[in-house]
Amino acid sequence: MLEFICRRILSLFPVILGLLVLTYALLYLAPSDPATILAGENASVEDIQAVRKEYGLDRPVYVQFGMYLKQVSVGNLGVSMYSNRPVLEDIAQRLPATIELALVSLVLMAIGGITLGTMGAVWHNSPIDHVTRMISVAGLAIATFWLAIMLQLVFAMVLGWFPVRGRIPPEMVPPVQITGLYLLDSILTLNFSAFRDAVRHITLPAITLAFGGLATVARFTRSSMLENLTKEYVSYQHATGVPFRRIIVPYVLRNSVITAVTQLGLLFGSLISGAVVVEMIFDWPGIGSYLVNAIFTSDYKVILAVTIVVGVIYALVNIIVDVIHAMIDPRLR
Amino acid sequence: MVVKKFSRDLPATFGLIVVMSILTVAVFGWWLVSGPSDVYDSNLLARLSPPSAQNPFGTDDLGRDVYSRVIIGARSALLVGVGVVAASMLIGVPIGLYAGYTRTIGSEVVMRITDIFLAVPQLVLALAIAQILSRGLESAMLALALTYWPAFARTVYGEVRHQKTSLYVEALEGLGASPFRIAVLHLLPNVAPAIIIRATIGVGFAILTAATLGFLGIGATPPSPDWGLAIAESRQFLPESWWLALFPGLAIFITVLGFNLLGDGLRDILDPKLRRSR
Amino acid sequence: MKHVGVYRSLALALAIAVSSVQFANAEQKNEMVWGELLPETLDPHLASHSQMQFYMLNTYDGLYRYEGNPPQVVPWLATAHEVSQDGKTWTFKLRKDVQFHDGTVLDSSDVVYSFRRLLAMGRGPASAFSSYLKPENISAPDNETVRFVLNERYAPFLSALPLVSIVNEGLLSSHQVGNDWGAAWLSSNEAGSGAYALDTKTYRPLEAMDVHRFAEHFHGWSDNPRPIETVRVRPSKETSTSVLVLLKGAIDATDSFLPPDQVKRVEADEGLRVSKDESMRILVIRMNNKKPPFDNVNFRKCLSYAFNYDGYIAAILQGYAVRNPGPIPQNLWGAPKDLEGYTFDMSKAKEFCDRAKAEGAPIDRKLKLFAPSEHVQMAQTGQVLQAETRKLGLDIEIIPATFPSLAGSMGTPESTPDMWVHWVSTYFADPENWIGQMYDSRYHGTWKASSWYENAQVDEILGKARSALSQEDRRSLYEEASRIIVKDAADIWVYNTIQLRGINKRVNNFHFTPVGAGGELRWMSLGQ
Repeated sequence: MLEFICRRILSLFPVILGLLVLTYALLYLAPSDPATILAGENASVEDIQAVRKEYGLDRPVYVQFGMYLKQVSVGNLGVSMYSNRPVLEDIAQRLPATIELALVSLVLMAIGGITLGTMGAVWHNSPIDHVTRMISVAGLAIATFWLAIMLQLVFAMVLGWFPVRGRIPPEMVPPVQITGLYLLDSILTLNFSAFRDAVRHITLPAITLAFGGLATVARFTRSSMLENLTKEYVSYQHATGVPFRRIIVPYVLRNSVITAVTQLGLLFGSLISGAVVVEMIFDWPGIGSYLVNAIFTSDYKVILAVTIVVGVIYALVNIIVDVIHAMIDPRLR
Repeated sequence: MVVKKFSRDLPATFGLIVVMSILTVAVFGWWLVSGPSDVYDSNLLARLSPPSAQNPFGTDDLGRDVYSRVIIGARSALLVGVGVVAASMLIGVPIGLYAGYTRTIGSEVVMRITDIFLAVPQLVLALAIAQILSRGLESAMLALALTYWPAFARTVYGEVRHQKTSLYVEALEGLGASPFRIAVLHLLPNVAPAIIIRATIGVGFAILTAATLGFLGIGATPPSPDWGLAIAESRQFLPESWWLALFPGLAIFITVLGFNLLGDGLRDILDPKLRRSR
Repeated sequence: MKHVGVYRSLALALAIAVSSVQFANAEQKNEMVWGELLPETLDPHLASHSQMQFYMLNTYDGLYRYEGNPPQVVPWLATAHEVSQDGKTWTFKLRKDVQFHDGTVLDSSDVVYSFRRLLAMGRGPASAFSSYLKPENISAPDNETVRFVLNERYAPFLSALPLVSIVNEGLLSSHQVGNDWGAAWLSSNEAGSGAYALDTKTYRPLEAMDVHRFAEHFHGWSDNPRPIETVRVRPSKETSTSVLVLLKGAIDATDSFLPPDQVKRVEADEGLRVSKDESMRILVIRMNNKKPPFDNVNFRKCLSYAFNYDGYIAAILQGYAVRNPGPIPQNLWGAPKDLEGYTFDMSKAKEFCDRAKAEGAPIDRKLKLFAPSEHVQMAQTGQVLQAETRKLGLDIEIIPATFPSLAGSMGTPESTPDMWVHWVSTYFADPENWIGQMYDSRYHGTWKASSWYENAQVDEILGKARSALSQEDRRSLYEEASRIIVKDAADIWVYNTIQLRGINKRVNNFHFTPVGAGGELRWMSLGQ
């Protein structure tokens, strides 16, 4: 098992290196020149050239890349050209917001998806099945950004049930930082009013983000349950007089859920893509909005760093899922 | 037989109808609107008027008819979807065939490259690529194709690997058929169902991602009646002018839904191994 | 032993928790929530855009400061200045009673350090000085005197001084890493003497910033008996959401980019008002004068006549803009009062386009107009031009792009787009900030001079205006240059901005100044 994990982690390095080369090449090809902005509104041509030199933007690309690799190999992801702040520090500060959002969405996804899928399988081919299937099909066809705007429009702007933006009310100071996850921190510090506020703020973004994945989980739960329901042991038990619902929960559901949960790893990618737009629309201060901002301002170091961090997290999540998978099914090792 | 099986599948039939209707709208769109002036010309006096008999979907901030713009927007949406999938197939299928059939360093390298592309969510990569290309629909399409081909390469690779062990391939090899011939004439037709399914769902997916790029401001350019762009432009007029966001979004939803349902139906027919519900 | 540690940290956590609960409950304090956008960095020597101006004006002081509208340069840390006969040596006397937030006294060495630091960093605000001021020519003859020796006569020097924040030399030196001038530390800390001090503990880049009143500020608080103790700055990226938050009463003011369409909605609320102030920020459609057909003056005139100025201002901007016919904001000196400029006249447009065509200008080719995507107004402006010119048979394509990528493409006439739209805001309130840097060919290659306009006569006038010391002489020179440039239709000048900001009526004494858009908190108080 240990060997399996090590092998998977080692295989990560070439991928990350490739990712770096790819991203760097893309940035190099970009027509934008941050020096003109950095040099300021009253800059002369000489001023712009001086800034270019200062940041090494006038050097050959392989020299720049070499310098960058050397930095990254010692864990230094550089500083943002605009803020002069270490990128790693900014990411560390913003990552908890994204993680919190992703975790809550995953939970919603799992609960909603498994419930819908189970209902669909148990009442196979009934109106309930059709409705749940419609929901899961719709989930994959709806544009995340549109759903976000519609939910914001209806529940925040018109009905006013939820806040339109942010993680906490504007006038509030963030709860004392322990984990950076406001929901958790507010409970740990017994700050229940902050907890209530945090829940209200995360509701709409998390629902938006969960919707697409929920559909996938529902489909997988439903199909694997249908498969399990036709297995012999189920028919056998049913034949021996065990009530149907007593079979479903302990046997069928457990088996099906395991299959469905392994899908969650694959959903992580869509979760990150979704986070980019959801964070933007709800002003959620995570790394998704950080990345969009960096792309729009051509902040090279930030784009590179976030790409690496997302790539590593993405790969780690997949490794974890594979490990769980391998533990369940030793044939895969 | 196939037609009968298909027509019994209600959602798939619905998907087919939707896709056909969208195709019709895309081709004959100009007959459904009163003219290019409704789509492109500003009419500042009539800006932001709510849905009415004259403008069933209301007007936008330049006074243009939202209904006309949604109708005409179908063409570019379909173009993107089909274009991206076609381009991705063009890159991905040969690579998948090559990597799946041969076992050389080259195939190993190719598959590692797909790993790199799959190591970041597609949207993030497409965003970065679209950012460096000059603005426009073509750039967005290119960015999507450049990031979507690994999906095809993977699908084909997996299928070919599976087929390669079949008796008929071994028999052909024994008969001395050239690898190229085996790959193109014998393996390709056998992996075609998988490609078709992937492509149908891929069209919907590409439309969705292209709309997202348009929404983020790096896809279609004004005054194109692009759906994603329209939603992006609507944001500053919410909540009063809700119609600006609602109708283009519904158009995206229905189109993508159609392709997904059709893709599901096709999977049932073409790939009996898989159960319909997946 | 271990357990003691655990208990102690638990107790600490609990104590923090309780105190934070109390903090949250202590409502109705003298606190305000302000919806301004935050700068990416807190280092005031790195940038001079409006977000930075807001931060700088409140936490730092400069030698001079802009107050009022139209803005006047008033002495701030300096009490007086002298200029030598040749106009190159400037000597400033400083106030003696100024304290930094850490209690140390501000003296001339801090001023010298600040200017040297600014020039060494070479970013943002430095560009207003770098061409004529060398670090070694800044000196401190004594504790309360600072002397600058300029390489050449530069009349706008005084107007540019408010761009420079004076930082605490001692504090920054103690946080210096390598030779970074304390830049890493200052990017998320503050070393100023301003009326408000940053709360570093609650600062979150681009997300949240709290500032507390600095009671010892040199200006004193006698002119504001009930100043606001704490201001929490909470930006909203999307205006429609920030309006909503304002309506809910969660913030006391939006930023100064309230869309005209939202004015009625804000004003419909009893407790809110909209501050409408004419600023000095002109909207310009740039034309690349070196690229055909834009090298043809008749074609440029054709486009200038084809823009529906009044319709645009009345319908889309709901009247919240002032027609600005030339390259200097019409409310600043140097802008000719009798300048007629161009009006919307399609028959004249047609006439000039026909003429251009007869002269062989390739007016039928696809013309690309780039619109910075940060503000929807830019693409809207392009669409107004596009809709009318379609009727002339012109084919304009509008391409959104981010401002950084656009500004980065202005290095050569070939890489500069056919047309693009942008604002020129007040970085310093002197015509040099607009006409001087936009149309003097010595600035070719910068985004401000991206029309590649070249006219030796104009270069000469602008050069003279830069070095003439009397404002009256300079005024007539700028007026003369404006007329020539407008006659040449170098660009399409559209309007001067009226800045709109939704404000809760409980905020008193909001004073607008184009620099910083009225965000100077020290004058404000809260009342019913």
